[in-house]
Parts: sequence; structure tokens; C-alpha cells
Amino acid sequence: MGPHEDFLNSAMGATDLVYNIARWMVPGAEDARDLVQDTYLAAYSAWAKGRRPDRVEPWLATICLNLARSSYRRRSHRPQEVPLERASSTAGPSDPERAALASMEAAALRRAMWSLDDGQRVAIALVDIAGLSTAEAAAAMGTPRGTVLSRLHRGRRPLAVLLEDQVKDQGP
Amino acid sequence: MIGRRSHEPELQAAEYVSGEMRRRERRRFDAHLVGCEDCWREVSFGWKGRGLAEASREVAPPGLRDEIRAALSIAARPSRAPRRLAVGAVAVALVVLLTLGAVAILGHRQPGAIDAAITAARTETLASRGPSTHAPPDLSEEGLVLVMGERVDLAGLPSDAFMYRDAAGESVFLFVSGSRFPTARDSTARPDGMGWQARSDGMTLVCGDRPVNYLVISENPSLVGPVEHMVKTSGVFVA
Ligand SMILES: [Zn+2]
Repeated sequence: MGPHEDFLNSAMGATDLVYNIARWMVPGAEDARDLVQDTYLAAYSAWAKGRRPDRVEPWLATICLNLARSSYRRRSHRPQEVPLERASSTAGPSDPERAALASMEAAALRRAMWSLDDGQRVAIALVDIAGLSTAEAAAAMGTPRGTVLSRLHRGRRPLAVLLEDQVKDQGP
Repeated sequence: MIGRRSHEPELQAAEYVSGEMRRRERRRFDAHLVGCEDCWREVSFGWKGRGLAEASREVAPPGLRDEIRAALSIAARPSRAPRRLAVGAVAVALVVLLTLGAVAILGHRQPGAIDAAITAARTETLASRGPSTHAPPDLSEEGLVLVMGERVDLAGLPSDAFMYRDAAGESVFLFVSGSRFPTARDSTARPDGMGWQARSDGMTLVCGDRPVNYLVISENPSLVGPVEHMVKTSGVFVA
């Protein structure tokens, strides 16, 4: 198997993961697609030179993060208008929080995520959304693990408040 | 750790909610939570926030995997210098100057501006002098996605350069200039008497002067026609 097929087999399974990180690095959907594509091109270029990471997911996440920081730096971090699609969820209707999650507008969630500090949003994207460990996220972000934990928690808190407001709005 | 280390509800809640406490530590913290309102509140925030973040997960949009595969197959092609030029129209990562040396290597088999345009199309690199003077024409109905629109200098000939890519990842370049493009060597006159066409270095070139001076170049001849048709019919370049 050549390096090209080898790379596809190893890395293409992480497309959803990279996309879910990219979405929180750049505000526009098209920009996120471009960032994912650039991440794969940069990763492939390293792969073709013999780089073989222990785990592909944190490696791709790190590349995505670095690209977002460099070439996308000039972009505005204002959220763009997004259609009011519903956030996907695996809600059980008996649980009020799950029900609130299910009916929450994706746009409200996006606004909440984009209102976080960059560091908080990145920590949440890497750990809660992409499923990296806090140690992997710390390596990707170039910060101590304690900083990631603290950013995670401070980012989770306003999201929790948003969810609580939603539960209240729905009433009993 | 609780009791021995200073009490840090935020950090401990973050670790706990992230599922990263070791089993013994976790058991201790479970027991501590029952009696500590501060920690309980932080953990409760943590769970809810994490739950909401998890619910925002999406699957990658349809077509993205194909786009990646197409881009990678170009990158993996050994015979060409792979280079993705720009990201959307915003982050324009430009790039390698066409130096006198590079032109000299090509040996001036073509007039300078034609040489420069062919080299740009082959390597997919150009030195930008700023944004294009014309707005980039939309060719999405032809299945061509705009990669970049820049003002460039083709060996002394100022020109707009637009690069498009099709779904298979193949590129086509459109150059539009206020000045006439020189005629390529070994070109043939168009049947309609307007402009010329040529093959050079494995690239197909067509050139015309109405409604504007244009030059279209691609390795794939079938991509040239739609671009030329747009130049002639869309009205984008009517003075
Ligand atoms: Zn406590």
C-alpha cells in the first residue's frame, strides 16, 4: 500500500472530528470546510515525508488548530447568521434537560459558543465535542493541562446557564 | 487528594466531568460531593455544559470527504508541484514569485507573458499584486469553484488571474487583461478569426480579445470551453 492509500485509511475516519473542531475555529461553514481540507493537505504532506503519529485524531486536531491560528487569524470572530435548524440530539422525552437540548435552536447554541473566550471555546471543541483527553488538548493548544481544565470549566458554565434558561422557558 | 490539596472545586469538577479522575480519586470525590455544596454546584454546571456541547456535534457535510479525497489525489500526484493556492477568497496564501531564473529555465519557448501564465497554471502558484480589478465571475453552474482571484503581473503584462477547480480537483485559469496577450508559438487561429488556440507543455490555451483580452489555460481541455463561453456571453467583462 502506498503512502496515499495508507494515509486515507488512517485519517479519513476522523473527518467528522476534524470538521467539528474546524467549525469552532472559524465562524463560517464554508471556511470550516476549507480549514478541514487544508488540515488534511498539511497532514498528508507530513505523512508523505514519513510522519506517523501515535494517534491520528489529536495530530489532526493540532494541525487544524495551528492552521486556524495562522492563516485564518485575520478573520473576524463574529458569528455569522445561521439557519435556525435544530440541534441534533438523542433526547429521551422524559428528561427535561434532554428535551430542552433537543428543542434548542442550533443558532442559540452557536451564539453561546462564539460568546466564549477563544481559549474556552477551543478547549470545549477539543475535549467535549471532539473527545480528546485534556492532556491531548493541552498538547494541541500548547498550554498546561491545568489551564485546559480551567478553560473547560469556565466555558461549560455559561453553556449550562443557557441550558437552564431553556428548561425554564419550556416550563414543567 | 481532597483535604490534602487545597480545595479547588472548578478544577476538580472539570476533571470529574471530563471522566479523567482515577478510580480511587473519583470515589473520594463522589463521597466529598455529597457534603460540599460548592463542588456539587460546579459539577452540575459541568455536566450540563458538557451535555450541551456534545449535543452540538455534527456530521461532516455531504461532499466534504470527496473534496478532501480530490485535493489529496492532486497532492499525491508526483509529477506536479502540489499547491493549494488559496482558502476561499479570504486567506490568500501567495506564494512563489515567478523569478527571472524560472523563466530562464523554460528557455523562452513562449513569449514571456504566455510562459508566465503556463507556469502559473502548471504549478498553481502566482505572486499576487492585490485583489483582482474585476469581480471573480461565478462559474458554479459549470461545476467550477473559485479558488482565487488576484491581480498579477505576467512578465510585465498586468492581468487579473482567476483560478477555478472542478469536483475532480482539476484547475483552470482565466487571465483577463487591459492589454493584448502575445500570440503563443505554434498556435492556430480560431475558426471564427477571433484569437488563437495552442497546446504547450501539456496545457491547452485559448486566447481572444472580445469582449475583453482573455487567456484560458488548463491541463484538461474540457475545462477551457466553459470558461471561454462564460467570458464571451456572461456580460461580466463588458466594458
Ligand atoms: Zn468541595
